Formats: sequence, C-alpha cells, structure tokens
Amino acid sequence: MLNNAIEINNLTKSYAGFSLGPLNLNVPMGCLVGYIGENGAGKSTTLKAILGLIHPDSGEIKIFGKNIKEHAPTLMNRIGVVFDTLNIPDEMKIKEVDKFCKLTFDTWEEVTFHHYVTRFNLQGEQKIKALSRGMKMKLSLSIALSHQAELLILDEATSGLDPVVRDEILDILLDFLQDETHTVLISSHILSDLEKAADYIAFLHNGKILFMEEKDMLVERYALCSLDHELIQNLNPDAIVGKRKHAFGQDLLVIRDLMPTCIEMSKPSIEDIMVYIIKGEENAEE
Amino acid sequence: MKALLYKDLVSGKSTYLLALVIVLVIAAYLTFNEAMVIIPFLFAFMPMVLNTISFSKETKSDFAKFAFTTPITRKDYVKSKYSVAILFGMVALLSGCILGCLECVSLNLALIIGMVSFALPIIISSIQIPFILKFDEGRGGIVIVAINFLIFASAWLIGDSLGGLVDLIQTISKLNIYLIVGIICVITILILTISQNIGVVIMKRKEF
Repeated sequence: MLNNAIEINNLTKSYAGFSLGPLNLNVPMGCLVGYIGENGAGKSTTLKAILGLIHPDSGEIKIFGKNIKEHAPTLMNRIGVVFDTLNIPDEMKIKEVDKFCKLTFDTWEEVTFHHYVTRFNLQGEQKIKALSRGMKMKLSLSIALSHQAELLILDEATSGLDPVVRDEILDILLDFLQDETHTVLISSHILSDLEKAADYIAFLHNGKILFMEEKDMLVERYALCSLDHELIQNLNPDAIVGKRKHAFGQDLLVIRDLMPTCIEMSKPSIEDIMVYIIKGEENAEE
Repeated sequence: MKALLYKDLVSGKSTYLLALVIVLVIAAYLTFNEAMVIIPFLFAFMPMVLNTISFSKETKSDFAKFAFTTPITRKDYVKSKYSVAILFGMVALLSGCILGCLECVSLNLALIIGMVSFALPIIISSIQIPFILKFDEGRGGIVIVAINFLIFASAWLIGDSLGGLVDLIQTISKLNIYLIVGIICVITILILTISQNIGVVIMKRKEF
C-alpha cells in the first residue's frame, strides 16, 4: 500500500542565479502539507516540477508511485491544481469552462462542478474577465475539485484574498481531506492559514528543505523567549535558532529541550519559526 | 484535442466572426472584379489569422500552464494547432474545384487550383506554428509578419499577372494531372508531418 502521494528524490533544478535542491520530500497520503519559504526560495519551482511543467536537471518525482513524465495524462485526472492566477482565456464563460473540462477530464463530474459554482455564487453566463480575483480562485478550486482528484496542489492560491474567502477555501480543503485517500500540498505566504489547517510543514530556504515536520511537533520543539545579554551568554549556543536584538536584550527562537527549565518561554507561530530561522542565518552571516 | 478546438472557438468567436466578414468582403470584391479564381487562395490567410488569434489569447492567459495540468498532452496541443489549417485546406480544395468549374476552366486546371489552395494554408501554417511555439509572440510574430508580407506581395503579383499565371498553370496542367496532384499532396503532407514533429519536440522541451 502506498504511504506517500508524492515522493521526490534528489530533485535538482538550476537557473541563472538560483539553484533548487538536491531536494527530498515525501507528502504523506491523507495529509495537508504546507510548503513554506520566502519569495524566491523555490516553492513554485518545486510544484511545477511535480506537475511536469518544468524539466528537472536530475532526480525523480513520483505521484501515487508513478513517474509523472511517463504517466502524465492518466495522473492529471487524479490531480487538482490551483495556481495563483486562473490561466483560462478571459473571453470564456463559466459554462464554457465546464464544457471544456468535460471534454478534457475523463473523470469530470458536471454535478459536482455545478454544486461548487452555486456554492461560490458564480453564474454560468459570467465571463472570466468579469470575475474578481477571489471569484477566479473559487472557479479554479471548483475545477480542481470536480474531476475526482485525490491530490490537490495549490500554489499561493490564497494570497491576495480576503480572510473570509481564505477561510471558506480552507474549510473546503478540510472537507476534501475527510476522505483519507485525499492529500493536499499547499504553498502559501499566509502562514496563519497553514497554522489552522496543515498537518505537516515543509520549510524551503534558498532552494533546500530545512525541515519537514508535523506542525504540532514543530511548535512544541521550538519556543520564544526574551532575555538580556548576560543571560544569553550562559545559554547552550546550540539552543539558539534565531534572534532579534532590541534595546534591553534579545528575542530568541530556541530549541525548547536545550533550554534551562527556569526560563519563561512561549509557543511560537509558524511565521515566527520561519522569520527567526531566516533572520538567524542572516545574523550569522553578518 | 476536441477540448482545445472548442476552447479556440469559444474564446475567439467574435474575432473569428470579424475575420470571416473581412474574407467575405474581399471575396465579394474579387467576384466583382472577375477574379474569383483568387478566392480559394484567401483561405491561405485564414488559418494564419486564426492561429495568431488563438496563440495571442493563450499567451495572455498563460493557458498552456493550465492545459498541461490536465490530461491534455503536449502532442495533442501541437496537433490541435494544425487542425484549423487542415480544415481550411479542405475548404480551399473544395472551393478551388468549384470555382475552377464556374470559371469554365478545364477540370485539370480546376483540380490544380484546388490542390494548390489546399496546400497553401497547410504549408504556411506549418512554417508559422513551430516559430510561434518556439518564440511566442516575439520573433515568432516577426516571422508571421514576414509571411504575411510575402503572401500579400504574391497576391499583388498574381493580381497583376493573372493571365501569365493562368498560362503557367495551364502548361503544368498538360502534364499528368494525377502526378501533379500526387506530388503536391505528398509535399504538403511531408511538410505538415515535419512541422508537427518539430512542434512536438519544441513543446516537450518547453517549460511553463
């Protein structure tokens, strides 16, 4: 039985001035994995490589145990994709998109599509160009969810949307995950969304995965504390992951287990972890 | 492939309608000037115009990025781009033969006019499409403009020396007609096949 919906082994891809990998990443079946990292870290490049939109320099990508290059048309019936933009000509109407998808996907379900279109208050006669960004994302999600996809891949799909729409989309993703064979890989800058929904967090930095961990373990492993300079001198240096200097001392992201128990610590958010790790590295370079 | 043709049709219907109106106006003008024999050659322009419209709409929406996350293969995508040219080739063949007969030229001459007008849209599209696939709207566009210019220049020359052209075709038509038709057909299919294969290679190497 397959344990992973996506398996990436030693993936590398180089562009002028940027290099991704070697990257190893497994996305467990039945989970929502948040793929985070700063702009230009390589998130979209990874997702494009998974979808076969770019050609990796080396490495292997398997989706449901099959090589994407060899089985693309069959696999694409099982994958729903939502990009940050809707890549459908502006002149098409929603009902025409339905017809197009019916002719494209072997597993297209018109009833499901109409269900989502109605749920999102979209009209069949509306042209793509008349839709707002939020509505376009809802249409994109409707398409992704209407062909019996078992894996959803979302690339910055929630960025630029208002909190209500984002929340609605997250609810739908959580609904989708009620089926234990369904999996979601989502890259997002809005880490609070992932905080609510993700089972795992994979953190990409400068083209390399720094960690891929269960979200709950992650927030347990790390802690935030604010200490003066004198106290910091006495700490185990391995405990400090990142720091921010201020007038009275420093705010630290630390590894909880390596810290003395007497120090007061708080739970970090995923955003804290990401920012402190990146800043920590920059401070070290300085 | 049906899906891609459907998409092209619905996303560009108003522009296609406009192109059709322009062709009809030109056809009426040619009929009025007793140069109906040129009408089939108008079909050489049509696929070029339609392909340009289709590609520009796709580039604007980055449609290929969506298409290749569906079961549409890159091979199907490339093949769909030639469908319009083949369709218009057929229409041109038919209209060429009919107009040849209406103009009371010999059956052989009508068949040659039909075959040439069948070959032209396919050959022109076969040159155009790989360039657009490779260079998008940039250098591909320049090639299209160059082809347009050549066709306009040819049409101008044809218009000016219609008698000479008819003489030439009549001379050729005295050769074995089936041989001529066969040669035109084979050359057209060969160019189409080579162009499609080049297109598929280009698309398979392309990243989105």
